[in-house]
Formats: sequence, C-alpha cells, structure tokens
Amino acid sequence: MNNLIVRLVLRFIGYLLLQVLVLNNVELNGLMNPYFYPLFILVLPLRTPQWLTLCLAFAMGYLVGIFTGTAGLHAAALVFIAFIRPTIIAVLFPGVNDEDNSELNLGKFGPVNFIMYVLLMVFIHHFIFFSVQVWSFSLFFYTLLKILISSIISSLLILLAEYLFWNKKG
Amino acid sequence: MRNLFSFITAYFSFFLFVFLELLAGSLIVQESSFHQSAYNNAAINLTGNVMKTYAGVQSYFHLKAINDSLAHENARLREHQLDAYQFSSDSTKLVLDSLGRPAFKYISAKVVSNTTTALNNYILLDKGKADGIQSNWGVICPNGVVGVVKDVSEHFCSVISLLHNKSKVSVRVAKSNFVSMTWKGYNASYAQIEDIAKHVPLKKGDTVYTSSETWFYPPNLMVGTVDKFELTEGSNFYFVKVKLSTDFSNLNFVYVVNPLLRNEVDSLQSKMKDE
Repeated sequence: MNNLIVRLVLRFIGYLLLQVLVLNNVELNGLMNPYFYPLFILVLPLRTPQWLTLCLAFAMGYLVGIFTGTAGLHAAALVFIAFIRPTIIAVLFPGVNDEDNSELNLGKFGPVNFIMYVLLMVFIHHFIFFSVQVWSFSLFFYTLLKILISSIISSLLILLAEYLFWNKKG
Repeated sequence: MRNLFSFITAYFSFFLFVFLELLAGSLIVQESSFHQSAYNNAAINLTGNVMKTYAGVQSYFHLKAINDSLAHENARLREHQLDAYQFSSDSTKLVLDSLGRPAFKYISAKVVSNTTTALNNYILLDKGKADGIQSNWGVICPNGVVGVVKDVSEHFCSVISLLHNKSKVSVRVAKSNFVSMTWKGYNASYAQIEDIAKHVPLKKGDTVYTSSETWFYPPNLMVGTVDKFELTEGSNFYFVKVKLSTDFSNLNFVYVVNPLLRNEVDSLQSKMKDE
C-alpha cells in the first residue's frame, strides 16, 4: 500500500515535469500539441475513491496549466475525464476486478481494450480542451483537425510509454 | 434532514465534480481577461522559479543562435554610432536628431518560458517590479515585436505574446496609414492585416513597420514582410498575410520598452474622449 502511494506521487511529479519542461516545447505547425499528463488519471487504481480522483485531476490540471496561463482549461478537461472514468471502465470492461489494487496497465485489460480506453479518454480530454479554448465555431474545422491530430499523437505517446514501462511480472 | 444528508453523500462525487468544474470555469474567465490579479502574481512567482532553473540549463543549447543574433544587433548599433557617419564641413546642415528628448528606455530581460502552439500564447520574463517593469509596456526583441506586459510580480512578469487572439499591433505598410495587425491562431510565423484600403499600392516583400501612434513600441521597428495579399470580391480592403520577423520558437533575450512619454499622450487623448 505504501509502495503504491510512493509510486503514485512519483508518477504525479514525473508526468507534471515531463509535460511542462519537455512536451510543451514540442510543436508542429501549430497543429500538434501532445498532452501526456492525462495518463496519471487513466492509470489510477480502480479502487481509488472518486472524490480523490477528482481532486487529483484538478490539482494536476491546475499545475500543468499555470505554466502556460491556461490553468482553468487543463483543470476543466482533466476533471471531466476523471468524472466519466468509472462509467467508461464499466462499459468497456464489464466485470473486471482489481484484486491487487495497483495501477491499471496493458496486462489487466488486454492490449486491445486498453488501447480503446486510452484513445477514447484522450480524445474526450482533447475535445473539451481545444473546444473550450476556441469557444466559437469560427475555427471549427481547424479545431477539429487539431483535436484529431493531437489526440492521435498523445495516445501514441501514452501507449508507447505504457508498453515500455509495463512490468510484465507485476 | 436525514434524507437530505443521505442524498448529498450518495451524490457526493457528483457535487464535487460540479464544484471543481465551476472553479475551473471561473479560472478560465479570469485568465482570459487582461486584468491583473493577486492569483496571477502568485502563479507567476511559482512557475517563474521552476522555469528559470530549467531555462538556465536549456540556454546552453542555444548559445550559438544567441551569439549570432547579438552579433547582428551589435553590427546594427555600430551603424548608428557617430564614427559611422561622415560629417561635411558645410556651414549649414540639417540635424535630424541631436540631443533630442528621449522617448523610450529599454530594459533587457531573459525569456524564462514561452509557448507558440496555443491559441493564446504567453511569455514569462525574468524581470519584475524590482526592475521597474510595469503592466502594459511593450516588449521587443532584436528582430521585431514580441508582445505587451500583462502581469508583474516582484521578480518576473508575464507577457501577452503577439501570438494571442486579442493581440493588436498598430503598424504601417508601404504608403498605408496606421493599420492594425492581428493574429488568428494558425501559425507562429504569420500574422494578418485586414484593414488596408484597396487603393494602397502593395508589393510582395514590402516591409511592415510599427507605427508611431500607440507608444507601445518605438516607431519604425520592423515587424515583418508582406508574404501574400488578396482582395476579396466586393471588399474594399486587402487581406494581407505578414511573415513575422520575430522567430518566436527561438526567443531568448528581449527588451521591455519603457515609454517615457506615453503618460502625456494618454492623458491628452483621454481628455479628447471626454469632450
């Protein structure tokens, strides 16, 4: 249990620094902004109380956001996916049980389900983030393209990281 | 009463969700306004210290580019030295600028963090109240215009980048009068001008300069060049695409412009509005 808390704290700090120090500097023609930090909410153990998930999502979004002056945007998008997470998991993986109370990973759901889960959650996160940021229909198609491309890149990054650091024994 | 209590506990996470989203919403509204706030100052101080450490490491990778741009600037400044002019011995000569009243002062600052991909981009500089920076001053770099100071904390300040949905720079192209250049969130290298009348002769490659109207930036500073211009059918104004001369993806040292005379201009202008 203590191990789990230490791991989660390290993940929180690690993802935050990776996002603000490295990934915020990545750009391609203004169309591609990879966001890696939602992974923290995606992998929280199933037994995490919902209020804690929501608070962690708000803290993570706020901290990532203050580096670019968009704390509210990041917090709103991340709190939303934290809120729908239990529903999505219940629909995608009915009957999954989380006996060992550790982080979610590729092994627990099987690769196909996990990829679906990441793609869906990242898309919803990016959809909310970019649409609220624009807050008008004037750049509709441009925003849609940005959402799609960024979702694909972010999901690829997240899946790659999950695959590389997936401890197959545990 | 017990029913109410059990209702709240049953839907606690939902209420928490609504509360957090409202909190985030109020932050969004607050961040999109141009006004100063205590919350912003605290946030700037926190992020400023983290990014300053990181920028210190990162700046080593840009040393060559920084050296080049400083060398260019030195060369340009040398051109303005007295030694660079030839003086004639005529008894009458036209003196354009000799001991005139200084209109601008420059404070050099280092970029601590900078974004170019968002719809509204902000820049953080390592100078603040302690260095005399004030909100609403212009920021320039050796190659062009950078933005306008937004919030100021003790040792840092945040700058609304030129790459911001609400940014507006008063500029001059060729024979046009003052027109305004805006940025619409597509690309960090291009901005646009939409109010040049169609009778103004334009050429591709024309230089875009800051105008002397607003006092945010020194006049006649290069902003960019005309990349493309087109006239929509039935419109009286050109749509001009401007290639910015500032390289926002590689911004290291900038100057904050202290407009010494702007207070006078502002007070006169506000009097004009009152009447």
